[in-house]
Amino acid sequence: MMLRTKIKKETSLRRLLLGLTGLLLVGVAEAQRVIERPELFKRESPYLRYTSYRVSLTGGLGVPAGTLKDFMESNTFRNYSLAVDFVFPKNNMSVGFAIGSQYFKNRLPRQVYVYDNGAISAVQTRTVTAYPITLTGSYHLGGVNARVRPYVQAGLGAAFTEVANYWGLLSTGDNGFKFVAQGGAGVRVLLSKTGNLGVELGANYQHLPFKLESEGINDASSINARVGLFYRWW
Amino acid sequence: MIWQEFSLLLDKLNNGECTMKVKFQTLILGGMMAVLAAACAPDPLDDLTVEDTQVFITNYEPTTNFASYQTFSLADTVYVIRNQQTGVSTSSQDYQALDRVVSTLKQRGYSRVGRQAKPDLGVNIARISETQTGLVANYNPWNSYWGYGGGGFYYPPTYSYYQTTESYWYLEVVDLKNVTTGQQPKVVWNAQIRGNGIFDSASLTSLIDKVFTQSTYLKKN
Repeated sequence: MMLRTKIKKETSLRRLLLGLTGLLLVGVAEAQRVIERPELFKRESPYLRYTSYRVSLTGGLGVPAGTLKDFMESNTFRNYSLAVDFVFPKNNMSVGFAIGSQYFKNRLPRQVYVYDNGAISAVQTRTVTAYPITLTGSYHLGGVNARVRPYVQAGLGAAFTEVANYWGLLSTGDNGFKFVAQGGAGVRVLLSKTGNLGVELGANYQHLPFKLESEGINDASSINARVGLFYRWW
Repeated sequence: MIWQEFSLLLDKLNNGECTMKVKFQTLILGGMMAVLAAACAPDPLDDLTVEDTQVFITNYEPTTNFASYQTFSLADTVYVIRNQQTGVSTSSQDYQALDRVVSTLKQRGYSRVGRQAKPDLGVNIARISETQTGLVANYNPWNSYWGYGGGGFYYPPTYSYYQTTESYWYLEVVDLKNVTTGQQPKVVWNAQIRGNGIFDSASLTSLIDKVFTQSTYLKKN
């Protein structure tokens, strides 16, 4: 008698547990059915369907290159770039334009510069300023939604350039619009898997012919390494 | 065709034909750049000390044998040359400059004589003021960029003149020994002292000294 009631109790407990488990399973199955609805969640990301936009603002180190090194011995951190790109969904390419701002400055202590028929004693302040506007094309390794996207980039354009040498307060030098060609590489990393914001890191060589005979230079070229943020949308 | 025009433009750009002053396209781009330039370009000279602004320029006639001269004469006044007008000045500062030049030239082996004593060298000291006038356009900040949009109004820029005057010391030595009748005497040495604080009597003597220090060839022996 005693034994039978015990068994009965156990069976009812087991039934209850079974029932609860069943309910849980139904619930899970129900939830899974919602997630797997293909018409809602299996569509491609908009970045894979449309041409999207990307704007990036970067800044960093600028190092004089070519004959400019003879004139400008200082590197700069006043070196910025604002780029806007059209990012294509399928072919890993993007095209856009970039506006840059570079400013180098070097102060030489007082020195007597001796010439064939005279001499000048002065403190020289040398500056190189460039505002390049370039059309750029990029090729990325990895799809448009890849978290890490290395790229190579080439650009062509023009730059308002000024190379100045101030002897005390007296300025010498030249300025004008010059042709610019640049090539570089870098990487863009999205901060979250499906996010819009990311970190950009890149370096380029900027070829800028600028002849200034008084200073013996043929170019105002530079090597730039910049880091910054980018934002994408569609 | 397009490529040809493009390469032509490139040539022009690289030959410096598209300078800021002449080309219209440069003006348009320049306007765009002005926004950037105003925002980003700092004044490279705002951290110069008064001494660091000073520039000492000396020139000489390389064929001159400075040891061949014995005497010099010097006016008792400093010439003041201001935008093509000339005058003379006899302030205490001017005498300070004159005295220093005389004592330095004596130190270098030349003797001072009067104008009538047929001096070998003539020395002039001048203060030159040059005024430059320029024009700047002040664009109305309420205009939208590129001249479109906004409230549909465009306020033309207002123009203002700016004027800068630079005054500097000019020293000159002319050859009176080998002068040909009817011709201007040849300048064998000249010097300019330019910058800030150059009319400060406390430092004037040392400023005069600097142009002689960098002209070691200017001596009799």
